[in-house]
Amino acid sequence: MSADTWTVRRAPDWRLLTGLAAVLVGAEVYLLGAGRVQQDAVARRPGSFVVGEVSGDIAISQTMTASIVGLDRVTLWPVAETASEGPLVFRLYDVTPLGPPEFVFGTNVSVDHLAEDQPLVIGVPRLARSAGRRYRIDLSVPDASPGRGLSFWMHEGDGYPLGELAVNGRTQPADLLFTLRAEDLSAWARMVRRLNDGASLVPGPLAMLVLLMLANVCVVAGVERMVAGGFDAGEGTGLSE
Amino acid sequence: MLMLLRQFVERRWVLVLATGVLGVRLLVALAVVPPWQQPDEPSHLLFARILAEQDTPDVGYVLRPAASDATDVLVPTFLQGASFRTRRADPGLERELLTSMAEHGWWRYYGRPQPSPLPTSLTEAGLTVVDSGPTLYYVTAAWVLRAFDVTSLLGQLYVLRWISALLGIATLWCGWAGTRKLFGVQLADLTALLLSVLPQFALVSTGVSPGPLINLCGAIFWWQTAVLFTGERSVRTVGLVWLVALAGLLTKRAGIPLGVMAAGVTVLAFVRSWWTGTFKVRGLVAASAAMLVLAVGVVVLLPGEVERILRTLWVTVTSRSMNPESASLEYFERFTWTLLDSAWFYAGWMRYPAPISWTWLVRGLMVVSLLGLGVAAWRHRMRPSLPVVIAFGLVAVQVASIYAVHFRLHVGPQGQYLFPVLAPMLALFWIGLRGWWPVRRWPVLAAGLITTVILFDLVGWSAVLIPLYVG
Repeated sequence: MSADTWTVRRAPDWRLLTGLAAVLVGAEVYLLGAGRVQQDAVARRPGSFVVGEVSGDIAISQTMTASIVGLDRVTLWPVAETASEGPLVFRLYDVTPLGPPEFVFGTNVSVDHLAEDQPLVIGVPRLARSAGRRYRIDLSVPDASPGRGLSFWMHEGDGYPLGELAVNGRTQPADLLFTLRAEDLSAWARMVRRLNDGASLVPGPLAMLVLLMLANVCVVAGVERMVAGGFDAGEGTGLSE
Repeated sequence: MLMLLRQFVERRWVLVLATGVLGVRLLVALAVVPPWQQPDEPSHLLFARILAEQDTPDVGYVLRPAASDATDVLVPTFLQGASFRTRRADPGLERELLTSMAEHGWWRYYGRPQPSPLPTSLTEAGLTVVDSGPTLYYVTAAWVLRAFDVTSLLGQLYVLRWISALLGIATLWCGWAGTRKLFGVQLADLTALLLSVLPQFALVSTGVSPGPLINLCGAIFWWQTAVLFTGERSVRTVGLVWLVALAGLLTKRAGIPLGVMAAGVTVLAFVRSWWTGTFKVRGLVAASAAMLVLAVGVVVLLPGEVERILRTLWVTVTSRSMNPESASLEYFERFTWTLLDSAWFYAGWMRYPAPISWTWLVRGLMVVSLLGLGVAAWRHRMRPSLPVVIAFGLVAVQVASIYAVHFRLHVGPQGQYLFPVLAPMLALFWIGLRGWWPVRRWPVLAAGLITTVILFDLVGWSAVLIPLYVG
């Protein structure tokens, strides 16, 4: 038999096709539609430790590069041996290279009721274009006397190459433990954003949705054709051996 | 005309549908992967752009000192219309490129802090500058940029990405044609569907690099090899096999295995024709004459390239030294798994793998398939059919070349190095998997396999690529 010869087509296996279509659509809706956590973090690990005390003139700052869009929360892990005197002064700057540093947000946070290992979540105005930008947070407790300030969880080493920790302006071989968060975002919502920016010379979201649906139809129809074409055990059908 | 088209499509329905699937996935890849994130994209574009902008014909070619800022290379007369000297580096272009890389977060995706001030050259940024001559890919890319009169940096990037995508679709078609000739239409359809949903193939086929052209050369080679063993016009086909191998050789060093395969396929074809009594002295003479003309033509027109290829081959064959770091079982295992994993999914210059559970699933499928090939060979009393021998031989040459060069020299493996033999690899993958099952189960197995790869693809895009690249 020549390779070009069609074997007798079988009737479509509707159970197989319906199952395939259901799996495809279900998986796409779930995988593309479900919200996914957006965060950047230096996470706590076995080697993490609490060090130093921020009080009076001592201030610390940590730079970080956001990969998320719509940054709206910063989480830190402070530790207070005794109730801290005065609020924690939090300042957020945009220090993206190729431009001057820019003050973004500041607040004074009361930290006199910190429980052990309680993360401190600081809300910031949503930064719509945070992805790819470099930020710096400055932390100080100017009203605290020595012994009545705050310490922070840190991690030593070069585990976070996208930023650095400084104490009173002097760079340290460590990083603060922190998390940058934004609201959960689905893969499709991200796609829509990318397609709308028009930079990549591809169709817009609606056209892409139609094309994705068409691709599903192509897959199901392709499998149907292949299965209905029948399989035989011969491998070298094109050879005249 | 419509009748012809209808006839054409009717006999290739699954291929047409697979093309639709691959086309959409290529569009998604073009949209999602930010500029400059494909492997060495800035370096490849820089060289193509330098060639495109070169407008000072200078037949009196004079080599400048190697340390010079602008290293000269000779552009072959027949490819460019005139010999002139060109440069490999251009400080102005590089600064523009680096600014664009910074705008699109290149350092962030590579897990590095963006330097301030920006580096002034690609080398300073840790990227290599293309070290080959203006090979077929770069000359063609430069011609395309000139022909379409694209001058903006991002415009040039995306035009070349689109060209790569078209080469990817052509690879699918040629791979299907070869598999159909050797293994029949059902197996060809199945491998076409598999290839159309293979995530790494979509990624590789949307990057600015010579890779997609090499992959197409490999697919055409597979197709013409199949024609050689199933058709009549053996002399013409041998000529085409060598021509496409030559195109691969002149595209990138990764094309060198195609030359080895061409030699092997030619010898096998002669032995087979001798064995089956169809050998003709006239055919041998004609084929030898054609190859001689081709060889002389290449040596005369591209002496530098021939020397480069021969030097690479000579060093590979004669050098017995192995990087000490490669000489361990642990590295062998790591190298092998990385090579295989990255043939399925490994984004961002080998930084972002598929979720680990899926990685183990495809590893399991590959092991089952490999063992299944053994089972199938045992069932055939260790006398596999000629198509299997051909497919296995081509894949073996490609794999051997990867280990002979990359493993031995301790250079990181990439699954795309296997893509010139992707069509025969997928055919063997399926033959191995089905080896465990009775024929009546093959339709369900085929549908299940394609569904699994589609889900793998979806997970790769939705859980890794889109969250990574689209903030």
